[in-house]
Amino acid sequence: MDIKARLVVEGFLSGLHSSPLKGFSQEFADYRQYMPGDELKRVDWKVYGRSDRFYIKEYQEETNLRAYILLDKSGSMAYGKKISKLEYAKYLAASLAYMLVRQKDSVGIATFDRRIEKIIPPSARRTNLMMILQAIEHANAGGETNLHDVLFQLAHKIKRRGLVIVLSDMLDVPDDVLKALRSFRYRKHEVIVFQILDNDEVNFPFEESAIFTDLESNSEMVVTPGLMRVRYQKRFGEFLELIHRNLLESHIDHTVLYTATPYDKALFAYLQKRARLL
Amino acid sequence: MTFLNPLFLFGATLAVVPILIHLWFRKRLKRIPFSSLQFLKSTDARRFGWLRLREWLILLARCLFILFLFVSLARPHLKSALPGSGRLASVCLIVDNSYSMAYGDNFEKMKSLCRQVISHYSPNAEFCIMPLCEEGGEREVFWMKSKSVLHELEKIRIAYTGGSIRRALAGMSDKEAEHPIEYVYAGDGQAENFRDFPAEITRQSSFFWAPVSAGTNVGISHVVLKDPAAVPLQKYAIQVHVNSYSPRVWSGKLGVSSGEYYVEQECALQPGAAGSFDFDLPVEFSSGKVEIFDDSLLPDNAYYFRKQLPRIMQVLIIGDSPYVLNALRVESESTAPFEIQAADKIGNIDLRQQDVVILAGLKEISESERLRIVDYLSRPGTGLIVVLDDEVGDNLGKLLSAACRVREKVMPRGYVVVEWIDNSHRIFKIYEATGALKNVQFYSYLKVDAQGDVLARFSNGDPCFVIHANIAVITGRLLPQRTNFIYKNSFVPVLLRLLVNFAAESTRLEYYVGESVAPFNRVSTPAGDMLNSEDYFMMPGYHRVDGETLCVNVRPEEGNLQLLGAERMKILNVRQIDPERDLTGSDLSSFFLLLAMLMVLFELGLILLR
Repeated sequence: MDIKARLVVEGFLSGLHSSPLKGFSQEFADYRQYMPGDELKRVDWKVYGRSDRFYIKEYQEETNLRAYILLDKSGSMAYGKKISKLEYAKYLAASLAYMLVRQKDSVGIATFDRRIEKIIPPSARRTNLMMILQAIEHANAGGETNLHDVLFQLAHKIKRRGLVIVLSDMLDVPDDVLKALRSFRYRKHEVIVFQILDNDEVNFPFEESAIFTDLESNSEMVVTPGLMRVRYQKRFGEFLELIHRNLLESHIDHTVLYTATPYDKALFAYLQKRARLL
Repeated sequence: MTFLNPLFLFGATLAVVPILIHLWFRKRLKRIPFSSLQFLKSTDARRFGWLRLREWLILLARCLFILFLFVSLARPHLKSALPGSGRLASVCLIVDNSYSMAYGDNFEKMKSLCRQVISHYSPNAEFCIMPLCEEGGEREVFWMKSKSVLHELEKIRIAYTGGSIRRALAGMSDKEAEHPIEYVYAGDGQAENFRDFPAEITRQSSFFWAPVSAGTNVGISHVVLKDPAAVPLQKYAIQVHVNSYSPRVWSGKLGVSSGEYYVEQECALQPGAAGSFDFDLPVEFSSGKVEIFDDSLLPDNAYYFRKQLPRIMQVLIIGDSPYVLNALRVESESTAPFEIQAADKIGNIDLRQQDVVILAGLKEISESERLRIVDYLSRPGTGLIVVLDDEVGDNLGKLLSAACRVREKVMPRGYVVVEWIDNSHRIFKIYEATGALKNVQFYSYLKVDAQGDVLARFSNGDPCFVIHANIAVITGRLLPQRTNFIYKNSFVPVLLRLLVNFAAESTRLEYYVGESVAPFNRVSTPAGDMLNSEDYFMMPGYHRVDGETLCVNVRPEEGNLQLLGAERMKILNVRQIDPERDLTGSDLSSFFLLLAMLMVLFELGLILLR
C-alpha cells in the first residue's frame, strides 16, 4: 500500500497539491517591500545590493492542513468487476494520505461500515502515515451501511476544522447522508466526497435473469434485467443527480469515480480541477 | 368427506411437481452479488411486488389445478354433518308410522332415511327401534346391532292413528345402554307428535329429527247433515268441514262419492281458516266418501260418512201441555219431522211405535206404565222428555232417578232466570252465538240433584235442564203462569233439538281409528279381517256389522300437519338433520373439476396480465 501510494504520488502528483496559505517555507512566492517590524533575516540582501531597496522574500506555505480521510468499508463497497470499490477507495485513501504527509500536512483516517471501526487522529509524522496505511490495508468490506449515523458521529469527534475526505459509494438514504455531510460544513470543515461506483451499478448491463444478492443485507431477489434496466438506470441517475446537486448546494466538493478509471488518473484529474478552482 | 376412488388421491401428490420445477429453475438461476438492491426495488416497487405475487399465484394455481383434478377423480363425497357420525352410540330410533306418513311414498322415504341414519353410526353402535304408534300396547325395548334393527325396521307398518314421542319412549327409561344414548326421530315432524315431549331426555342426550317432507295441511274435520232435523224427500245435504293448517291459500276440489253418485266442487281456504262446503246427495245413498283433491296427503283427506237420515218422528205427548203440543205443530225450523199424538195418559198406547215420549206435567204414573216406559227406553232410537209439575210421585221419581233425583219444590220470590247454558253441549251448540236461552224466567220449579249432564242452570245454580242417556228433564212446568219460556223464540228450537238429539243419538255409525269396537261384536274391516268387541278400529274405511255399514275415519288431528317450528325445536333442544346434506352426502367431483378448470383460467389470466 505504501509503495503503491508512493508511486502514484511521486509519479504523477508531485507539486500538484498546493496550499493557498502563503508563509514561511521552501518555495518562493513573491517579493514585497520591507515594512517596519519585519524580521531582518527575511530581507533579500541580494536585491538590496542591486537596487538599494529593502525587499522581503515571501514563500508558499504548505503546512497547517488537517485532513481526515473517511473510508466507507460497508458491504456494498465490496462490489466491483475487476477491482472492488473498496480496493479502489483504499488505494485512493493511501495515495491521498501519502500525498498529504509528503507535503507536511496532518492526516488522519476513520474506517467505518455501520459503525466506526478505526479512527487515527491526524498527524504529519511519518509513523502516523504508516499507521494509516496499515488501517487502510486491514479494512475489509462487510456489514451494512449506516452512513449518516457514522458521519454524524465523526462530525462530533472531529473538533478542529480541516479537510474531510469521504470515500464512499454513498448507497444510503440520500437525505440522511446529505444532512450528515452538511454537519461537517457547519463545523467549518472543507468536505470532499469521492463517490466511488462501479460502471455496472450505473449501467446495469446484466442480461439474463438471475438472483441478485444484496451484499449488505444478503436479501435475494430474482431479477429480469431486461424488464428493469431502464427504470433502474433512471432511478440511479436520479439518485446521483440528487446527491450531486445537494452537495454542490452545500459547497461540498463531489466527484464520482468509477472503478474502471485508473485511480491515479482519477486523482490527478481531481487535483487538477481543485488547482483550477484555487 | 369420503372418496369413492381414493387411489386417485395418490395422484394429488403430483401437486408438488410445480413447486419442484419452480425450485429447480430457481436453483439454476445465477446468483449475482450486487451492491444494493434498493434501486431494483425502488425501480417499481409496486410492479415488483405484483410480479412477485404473480409468480407465486401462478405456482399456486398450478399446484391447485393438479390437486383439484386428482381430488375430482377420486370422487369426493360429502358425508354427514350429523354429530355422532361413525361413532359409537346407543341410538334410539323413533320411527314415525303415524297416519300422516301414509302420504305417497313418505313412509318408504322415512324408512330409507332410517337406513341412512343407521349406516351413519359405527358398525358397533347399538340400536333400538320405537314405532311412534305402537299397536297392541307398549313395546319391549332391547338394544340390537344394525343388521337386526334393519330387519325390525322392515316389520313396521303404517298405523292409522296419531302418535306421540312421549308414549313411544315410555318403555325406555330404565333400559341400560352400552354407550351414550342418542335419539333420532324420523318422520314428518307433526307438532302433534311432540305434544308432551319428554324434554328431560334432551338434557342428557342428543335428540335429532331426520325429517321427511310433510304432506298436506288441509284436512276434513267432520261431515254432518246440513239440516239434521229436516226429513229429506229426494235429496239431502251434507256439510263437509275442512280445516286448513296451511300457511298459504289453499285451493282445490272436494269430491263426494256415494254409491254410483259423484259430485265435486271447487273450493278454497284462507291460511289457517276452517270452512264448510255443502253437497246435495240422493236419499238412496246415506253413506259415502268425501275426498280432498289437489292436496298432498291423501289418506287423511278422505272421510267416510254414514248418516242416518232424519225421518218423520212419532212423538207422543202425555199430559196437559197445549203449549208443547202447539210448539211441535208449528212448522218453524224445518219441514216439521214429527207426527204428534197427544193423550192424557199412556193407557194402551203402543209405545214401541213412538220415537219420543213427552211426559208434560204428570205428577205420577202407574207402576205398569213405568215398566213399559223403561222397556221402551231400552230400545235404541227412543227418548223421553219429562216436564216436571210441582210434585213428583214415587213411580215417576223412580223412572227419572237415572237422570236426576227430585228434592223439593222451589217457589222463589219473584222469579229465577236461566243464567248458565252449556253451549258446548252438542245439542245446544248451534245456539251458542245467539244465547237463545238467556232471560228465560221461571216462577216455580222442582229442585233436583242432577245425575246426568246439566244443560242449563238457574241463576241460583239449580239445574233447569238435565239430560242423561235418552232421558231429558225440564224442572219447571211449561205453563204461562210458571215461566215465560213458552213465549221465547228459543222454546221451539230447544224442544226440537232435544227430540232430534234422541233420534240422532240412537245409533252411532261413524267412528275414529283407535276407538273401541265395543258396541259391536263382530266387525268386518275393509281388509276382510274380523274385529271383536275387545279390539280397536285399526284402519279407515267402510266396516260391516250385521248388514249395517260403519264408517271409520282417521282422527282429524292427524290431518293437522302443523310442523314442529324452529322456535319450539329450540325450546325442546331438538336438532334437525338435513337429509340431503347430512345423510345422503353429495358427489363433489364436478365441484372439484370446476375448481381445477377455474385454476387453469386463473393462470391464463395471470399470464396475460403482465
